Amino acid sequence: QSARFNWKMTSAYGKGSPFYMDGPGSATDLAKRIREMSDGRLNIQVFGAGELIPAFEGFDAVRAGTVEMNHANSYFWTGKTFAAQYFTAVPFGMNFQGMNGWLYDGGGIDLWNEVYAPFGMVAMPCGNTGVQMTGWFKKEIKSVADFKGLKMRIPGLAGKVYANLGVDVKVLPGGEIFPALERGVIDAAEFVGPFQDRRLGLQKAAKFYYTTGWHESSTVSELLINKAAWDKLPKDLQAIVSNAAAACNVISEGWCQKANSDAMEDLVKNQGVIARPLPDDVIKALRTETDKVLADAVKDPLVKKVHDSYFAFKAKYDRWSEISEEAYHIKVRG
Amino acid sequence: MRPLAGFVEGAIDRVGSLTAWIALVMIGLVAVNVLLRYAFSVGSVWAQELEWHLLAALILLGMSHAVQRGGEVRVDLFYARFPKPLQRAVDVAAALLLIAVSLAFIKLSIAYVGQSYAIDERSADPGGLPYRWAIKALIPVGYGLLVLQQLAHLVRLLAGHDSAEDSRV
Amino acid sequence: MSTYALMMLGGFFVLLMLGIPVAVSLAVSGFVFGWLGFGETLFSLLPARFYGIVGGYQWMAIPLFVFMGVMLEKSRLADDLLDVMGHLAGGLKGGMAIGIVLFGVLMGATTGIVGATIITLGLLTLPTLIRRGYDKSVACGVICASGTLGQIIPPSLILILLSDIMQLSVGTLFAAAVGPGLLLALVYIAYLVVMGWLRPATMPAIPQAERDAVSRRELWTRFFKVLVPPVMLVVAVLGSIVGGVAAPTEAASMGAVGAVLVTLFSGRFNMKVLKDTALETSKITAVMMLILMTAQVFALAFRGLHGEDLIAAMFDQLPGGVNTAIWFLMAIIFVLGFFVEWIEISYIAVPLFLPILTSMGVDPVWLAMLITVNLQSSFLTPPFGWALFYLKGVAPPEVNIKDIYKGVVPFIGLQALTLILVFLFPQIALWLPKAIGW
Ligand code: NA
Ligand code: NA
Repeated sequence: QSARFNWKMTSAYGKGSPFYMDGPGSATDLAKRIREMSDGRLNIQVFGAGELIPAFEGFDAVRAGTVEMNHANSYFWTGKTFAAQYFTAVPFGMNFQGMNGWLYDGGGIDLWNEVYAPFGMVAMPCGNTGVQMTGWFKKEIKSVADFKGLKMRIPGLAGKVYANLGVDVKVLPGGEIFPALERGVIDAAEFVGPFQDRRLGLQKAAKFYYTTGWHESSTVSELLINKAAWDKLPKDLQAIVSNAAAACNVISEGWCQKANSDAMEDLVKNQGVIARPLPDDVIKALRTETDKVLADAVKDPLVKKVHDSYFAFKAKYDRWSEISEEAYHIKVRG
Repeated sequence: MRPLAGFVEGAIDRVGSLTAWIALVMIGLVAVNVLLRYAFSVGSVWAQELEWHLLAALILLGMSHAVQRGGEVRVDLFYARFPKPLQRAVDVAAALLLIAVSLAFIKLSIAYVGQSYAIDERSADPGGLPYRWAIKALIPVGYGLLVLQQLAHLVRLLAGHDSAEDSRV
Repeated sequence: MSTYALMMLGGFFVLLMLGIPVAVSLAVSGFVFGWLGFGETLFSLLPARFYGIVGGYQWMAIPLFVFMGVMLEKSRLADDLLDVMGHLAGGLKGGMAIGIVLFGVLMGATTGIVGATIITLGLLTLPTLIRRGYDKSVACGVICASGTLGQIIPPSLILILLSDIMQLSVGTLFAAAVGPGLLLALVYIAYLVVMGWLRPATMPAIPQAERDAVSRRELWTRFFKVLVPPVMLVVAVLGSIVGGVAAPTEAASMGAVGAVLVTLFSGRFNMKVLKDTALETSKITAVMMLILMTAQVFALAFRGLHGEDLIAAMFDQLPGGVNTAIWFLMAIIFVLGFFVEWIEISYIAVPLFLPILTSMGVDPVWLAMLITVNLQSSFLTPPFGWALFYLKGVAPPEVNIKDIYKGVVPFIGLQALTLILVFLFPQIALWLPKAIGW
């Protein structure tokens, strides 16, 4: 008779949130796959944000071992260890394929575990939104000058980059984005991508949808696991968890491609949304500012180690994707 | 014991005055942030974070003073009709229970604050405030003040003073 | 294990009835039965929950509204507010109470937090109502019910949470809630008109002689002097949301600044008034948040004891059918509302039933509105009702909890009536979102 394990998994996202908590590759889907593959030997109860703990308390709860797993994005933990930023997304970073290359085969996951070792935790990728969108703007952005005094909801590292270019950065919880944008308390807002943004109704508040998230070119969901609990799992259950997480990593991204294709078509065709990329020199300015912000961060040796690994991989991958993906998109796709 | 209780109550009063100023600063800060953003499109992440940092300080430092001033809410459906000795017994029990509960909160939160202090946790936003652990540390501090206040209250109750009503300042 | 959950509800009830303060009753019953049921483990999550509350962005609105209310009270400008309303209502019995419902609707449109509206209304209107000969329980009932309207009239925390749990757009729910929210207010007003006619002694009009003593001209002068400033403040809060000056949570800061200005112009402002207002603000806020924190012990224990299993087991005993399922959910929400606060109810009951009801083809927006109307009662039902505690916290000493309990009973009935109306006529909820395309 083999041992049975009853685990708890918290999430940074509300119960029912598509992609994160509900649907293919989500946290509940992950738990279901693990339960089925292990024939119920590893039974994971999933809690949405606020059910057991508030949204961003998963790190401490897993660290303390009160819950065994948390499902979120590692960049929520940059106040605890800045290197965590790189395992979710870094501005002007890699896309889904490149990110997976780095994580699975370029030493990314090993570094991730090295960063979390002092906290007694291990982590692995288990979801990805694919490329996100720059966000919703009430007015057209023609040049960097248009950022001056622009009021924008944008959290995190990208917020810092925008702030350096004169944007007035506003911190707002998800529920207040729509009323604030609609009424003009803010002039622009970043959220996720077409499917999630349409759920908030942002297209009713702003018409310019700047596409391709320079700030999050693919966004990894993190499965965070208490190391002591992990070590207690027999090898086969560990393998089941790793494989289920890898499956969800791919399946959730696939779901996003479908959901976003549908949503984007609807937004542009039926809802009068103007979708376009930012002008070239705006992107250039954002890149310069990002480099400055990151240069500041790499003064920490651990951050530098992760940063160098990430960007060394990216340099190589960029050359390869230039002659593979890029050529495909420009010359072959049609 | 009585002078000591008086001293504690005086100290809690002073902390209470402090939280009144915290409340004023917080309200002013929210208003200033709103107006600066609206009129001049000026704002910063740290100033917005400071809003809820002040809220946390206001709540946790203000609890003990509020309770001392008789702010606790109770269902007086039957209590109001209890004879005085029974009322006092309920009050003593309530004080002892609140002390026990607060001590449990302190014990639970020390590890939580320690986790944060050990890594010098700061805001997850690059434009935000440092010393996140200091805000978390207000949880045990706030309940510590509550324990002291309730001990002083207990001394008064056992010395024969009447129920919570009389300890209102 | 779920037996412990039942025992915990019982234990909480007993402590509360003994007169142990609400905060202590919640924490003690939660700790004792949680500890018996699952030991210490889950309780180590409490600090994270406390931190989530004291640092919770949405709670910032509480001190802001409290400050506005207390400042207005201290300015004594509000003293006359209801008198003027009463004069304007003429011989209509319950005129001031109707004014409170209308004020609740306006306040509700500025905030999604019940405490804010009840505290403001309680501070401003309860003493005047009692002085004017209103029955204490009638006065308390109308304030609690009107204040609770803020949780159905958008913006509202309930709607934001439900949109998360039920995967619906916040905008759609905001639009859908306008109909049921206004209907509820109308039902309250209709009730007050009828009761003013049936039992005039409980809500007297201003005596004829006194009304005659004030000339029309004098009344209008007073009208501008006392009615305009507070209404302007509400307009300042609402206006700053509508005008894009402030996000809903921070909008009350404009009201707070406005209250200082109004008091300044009235010549009653000085440092002592400011200090006293700040002290009251921190006291009221801290006590409410203390209760909210101790409620976390209770909520965590209820979850740890698998309180939801009780509900699932009962549901299995039921005959099938859409309406049975809907009304069972409504009954569960109503009963849980006696003991548990709306956030936990939403987390516990809604996910249990949502898959069943959606598979039966129930319109989720309509269902969300039934839930929202029903949750209104959780604020009013004793022993654990936020509206009751908020009002008790600011009521004059001669008002005891019995007056409040007695006062809310008819309004709970009116909420049930509104629930039935929204059930029978789904268009009350569904018309507006469709009409404006949200
Ligand atoms: Na509202
Ligand atoms: Na209730």
